[in-house]
Amino acid sequence: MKNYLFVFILFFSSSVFAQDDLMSMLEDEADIPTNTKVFATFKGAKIINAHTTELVKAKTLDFRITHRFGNIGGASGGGFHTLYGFDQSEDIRISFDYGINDHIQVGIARSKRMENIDGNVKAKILHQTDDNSIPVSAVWFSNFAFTPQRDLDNRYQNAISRLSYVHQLIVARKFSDRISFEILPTLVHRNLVELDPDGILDENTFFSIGFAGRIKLSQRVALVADYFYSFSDYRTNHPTRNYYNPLGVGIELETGGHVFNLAFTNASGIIENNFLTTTTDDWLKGGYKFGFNISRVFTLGK
Amino acid sequence: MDTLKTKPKIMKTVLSILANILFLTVINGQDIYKITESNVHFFSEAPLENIEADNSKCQGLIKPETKQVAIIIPIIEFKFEKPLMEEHFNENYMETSKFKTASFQGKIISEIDFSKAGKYEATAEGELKIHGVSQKRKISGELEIKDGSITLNTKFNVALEDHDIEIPKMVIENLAETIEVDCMLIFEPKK
Repeated sequence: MKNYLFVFILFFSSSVFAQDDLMSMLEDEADIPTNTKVFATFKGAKIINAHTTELVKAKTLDFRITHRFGNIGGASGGGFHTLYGFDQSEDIRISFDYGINDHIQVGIARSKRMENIDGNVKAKILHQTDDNSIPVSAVWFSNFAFTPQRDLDNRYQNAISRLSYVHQLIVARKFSDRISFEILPTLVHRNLVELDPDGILDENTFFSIGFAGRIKLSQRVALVADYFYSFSDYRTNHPTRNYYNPLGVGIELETGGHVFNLAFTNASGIIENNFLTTTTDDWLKGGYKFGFNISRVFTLGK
Repeated sequence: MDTLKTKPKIMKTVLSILANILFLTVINGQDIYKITESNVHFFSEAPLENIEADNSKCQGLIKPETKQVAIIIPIIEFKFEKPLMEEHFNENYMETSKFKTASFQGKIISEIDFSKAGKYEATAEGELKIHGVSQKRKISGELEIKDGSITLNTKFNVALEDHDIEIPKMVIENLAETIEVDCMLIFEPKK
């Protein structure tokens, strides 16, 4: 009797198997990658002032012009007679960034402010994955900037004193398709700092922490913002000079191939060496300016 | 006494042989072929820029007995010449993090003798699922049956609108609204 049952079970189970849906069988065994890298945490190299964890793709060159107009508010030199800052340009930066591979990018650039020529490197340390086996992306950023300004008042003792540096760790997470956030512990160092008219010496080195985020409002429009808080006694407690922490807010418009970044910020400088150290405009007094960048990416190899 | 004892023994043997035959024939009748090599290519011709990509990580099964076909394509495995294009494809158009695969599930409706080598015109009817949206489709191609392998070649069009794939107005010049898909799939018996 046991044998009949055995035969019956064998036969029955195999015929059930024969009717089984081919697709569910395929789905059971299909190898669909789950630990793939999260893409497009941010849409560009920068939020507004803050760098992002995005690198220029391998073997591509990103040519970029970043522009900051003058202050918009009348109380800060803007208003009707400068067409709300459009007559002025606080800073212009022309840059070339090249992706050596998917993990490292190098760049050179020249800015209007202090005529700074900077060289920088951005390296990917971690890349967030879909299955959260790596929960965040992390990038290291370092630069040096050299100012070739004419030395009219004998400030620079030597070429070394014209240099400044920034080192930064950027840790980002894409929380959902819509929301990405990052934190940027930053160290800025200038070889030359001077006594100001109040007889107070500025700091050579100080630490700053940045926060930046992006919220997608629709498939094509995103709201972006960044903010840096500087741990600088000179800046927070100066008796006569007012320094402000750089805050940027903006809109990103995506058109497929290009991302238009329309930004407002109180920072004048474009590179960290400048905007972390010399932001003296106050949002509340109209001390914010319009900024934009245009970028063209060239694919140089396969 | 002896005869009483041996009778069930014979029965046992006969039954188990019968069971084995039955069991084996059922298995043989349902040989399944599995994709061992694939290339799915898509091409979109547009005034500004042609967009194309290849995928060699296609997975699928064919069961000649029932003529059922099941194919899954991992979207993330589409490789583009320009990495930026690949990112846009995944993020803006296919929304790959939400819809990880495209698939086809259906039946070959043409007469095909899988036991005879040769080339056959074949049409499959079923559901094509892209970007999470299924469409009933008839897709035609050529099946080549050789000893131990089945090669499937097919070319068909996909209208982006049919699968709710949105193209922003500003890039409409950049993209064709219908893309051409070219598949070459080689199936071999599944172990």
